[in-house]
Amino acid sequence: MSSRVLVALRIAAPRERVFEAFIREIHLWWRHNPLFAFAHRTDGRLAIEPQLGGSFTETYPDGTSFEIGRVTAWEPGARLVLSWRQASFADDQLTEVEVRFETAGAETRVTVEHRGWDGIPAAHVAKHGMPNALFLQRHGQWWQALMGELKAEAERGP
Amino acid sequence: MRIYALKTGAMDELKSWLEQTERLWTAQLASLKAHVEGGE
Repeated sequence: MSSRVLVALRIAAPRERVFEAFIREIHLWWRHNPLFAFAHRTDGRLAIEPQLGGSFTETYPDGTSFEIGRVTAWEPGARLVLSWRQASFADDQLTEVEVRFETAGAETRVTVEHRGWDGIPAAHVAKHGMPNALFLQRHGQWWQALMGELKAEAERGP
Repeated sequence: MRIYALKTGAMDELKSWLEQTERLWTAQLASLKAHVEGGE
């Protein structure tokens, strides 16, 4: 089973401009998120090499870099597909991000589809910890499931 | 019974992770929008 996430938004600018900003200015608008840290740190600068097969990388202040993925579809002004792999992913886990740019009146509709989620990056949880809120939420769900099981077991009787 | 509970747990984890991924992209696109519309 493979799951996907779909998010769309309208931006008041021509699609060529939005595409350009998405690619060449990603280091200016990207917000670092500890849960989605590519290589267990959040002080890197993102860059997408603007061509088919180009590298999608994060470069750190010490000069090292991590390759998140590659440009696997390149249709300037219209569509972009990037492979996406975080360092915490299992060896066989690779996801894909498709970004579509469509004219919607005077605006551009940007759609992001992040697919290929067969599971969560388990190593991330095991080795690097989850942010507290999310950990507690998951822990709560675990207890809820456990209690449900207990309830079912109890109601079934001996 | 136990196997069923384990599978349910795994699905909850994946669902929670997908929700986080959706939040990530919602925030990123909002930031892209602010960047482009702000004329930076």
